[in-house]
Amino acid sequence: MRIVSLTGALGYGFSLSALNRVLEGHVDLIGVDGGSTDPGPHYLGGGKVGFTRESLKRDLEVGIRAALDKKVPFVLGSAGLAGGEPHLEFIRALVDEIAEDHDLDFRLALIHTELDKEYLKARLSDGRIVPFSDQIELTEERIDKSVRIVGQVGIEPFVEALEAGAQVILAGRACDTAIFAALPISKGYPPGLAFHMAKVIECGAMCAYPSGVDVVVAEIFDDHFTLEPGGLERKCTVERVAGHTLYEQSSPIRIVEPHGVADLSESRYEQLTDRSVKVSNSRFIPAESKTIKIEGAELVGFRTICIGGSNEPLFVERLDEIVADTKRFVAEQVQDNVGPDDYTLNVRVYGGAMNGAQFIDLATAEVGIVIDVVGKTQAVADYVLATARGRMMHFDYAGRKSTAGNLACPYSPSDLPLGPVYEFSAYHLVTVDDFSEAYRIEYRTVGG
Amino acid sequence: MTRLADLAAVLRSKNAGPLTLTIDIIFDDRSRYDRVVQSGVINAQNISELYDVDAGDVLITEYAIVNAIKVSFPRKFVSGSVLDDDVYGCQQHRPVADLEIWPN
Repeated sequence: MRIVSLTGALGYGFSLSALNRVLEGHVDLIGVDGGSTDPGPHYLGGGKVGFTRESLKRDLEVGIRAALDKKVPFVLGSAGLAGGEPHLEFIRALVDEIAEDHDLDFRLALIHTELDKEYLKARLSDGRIVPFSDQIELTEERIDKSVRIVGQVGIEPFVEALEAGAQVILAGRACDTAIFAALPISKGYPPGLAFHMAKVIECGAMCAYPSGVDVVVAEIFDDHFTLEPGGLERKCTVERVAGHTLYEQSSPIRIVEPHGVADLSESRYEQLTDRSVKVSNSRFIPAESKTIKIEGAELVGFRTICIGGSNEPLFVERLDEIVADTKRFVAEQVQDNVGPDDYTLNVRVYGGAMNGAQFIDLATAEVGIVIDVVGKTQAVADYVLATARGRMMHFDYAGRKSTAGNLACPYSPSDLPLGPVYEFSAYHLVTVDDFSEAYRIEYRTVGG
Repeated sequence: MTRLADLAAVLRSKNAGPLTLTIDIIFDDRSRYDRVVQSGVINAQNISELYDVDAGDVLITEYAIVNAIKVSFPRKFVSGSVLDDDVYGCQQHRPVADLEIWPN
């Protein structure tokens, strides 16, 4: 069974010649991952799609047309980056447009993965939601406050949709591996190999040398799988393929899935041809319970920032003291209108003594400063920021000679409102009785 | 004096999910990998001090197949939270870069 991964993430692009090369042979599925939590909570919270509409449409258009042409399923996971309802809907509308543009008809499956808050609250009170650490405390109140909470579904809804004959599958939030592992596992290939294969190809040609956002193809057999990049200028090497499981994972030898762990500690890697690698001996250890990882985001305020710089040695030398004074001054100035809990004032200094470096040379030092305020409303953030910026700009520190202003501000306006700020409100594991609790599949006929 | 960064071919940090930071230290050859592993410098106590995390929360995996050491631990601030200063976590390798590795 031969499975194509288009690129590292939908919207990154990929080379047409690389895709056409792999399509010369037999293929069973074309898939691509669409998401990540890596760019932070803004996308999940704000309902914003990552990448641009143009880049997403291009990748979808090429991928879907190729799959329909080959009469194999096209599978997208974590639609629109965060996989919530607005993200899935955005991608669905793009797919409709593509179908209309090219007069395509196909059976579409939409896998919805936003979770119902009452369901989550019931699971929480049953003690069936557990944290990974104490960094985020999930409470009933926080569930209510979350803009949305999605669950990372595993292979189950993909298997279901494939068996129902869906030709294009668009999923909300999903494990990266599920996109590619669902089909081989449903056809009886060993899950350890299937998940390992999926983990490597979900990043596209990252596992090749030179690495890149491009097409890679995997072929899975009963006791091994092989990997080969689409582009002839790239090759898969043992080092790259074995090294790939280090990337963005806390362990290189364990891939945690909703119903178990792929154990790569005994995996064997061999250079098969100049450009392809063979992998065997990856195992799967089923878990005792079924778990779904959930991700939530909540609105925590509104941000306004000011960017400034200074190369005045006297200012740089006293910066710690100036920052402390600014915070004190702001608290006192705004107290009649704004309480201390209504805002966070953070002065980010770049180029000073930060991140491990102990000493800086004042004679040549130049610092960049971001005055960063998150307030309970945009007006509060604007007000506190303006007060802080005014103080830092004009603070008459001891020994000051540059008495006209302390900060070189590159922009007018100097104060930049950045809008709503979200934080992750949930990153937990929910134990489910059945995986179907975490998703709903909707089938549609497109075109025709 | 030899620093870890002088010996490593790849020295990078990145998120492993929004709660976890992971550092990959990859060497070009087995002798450098062995030298660093045997130095014992990459240990939970050192990481705990450099990154202000509990030593018990530090996961260190030696991955000899590609001459790599992986170090993972909880982020001080969750990715993208109000006080976080590195959403992707990709510039947090510097504290380990300066670890001193003595000759074998």
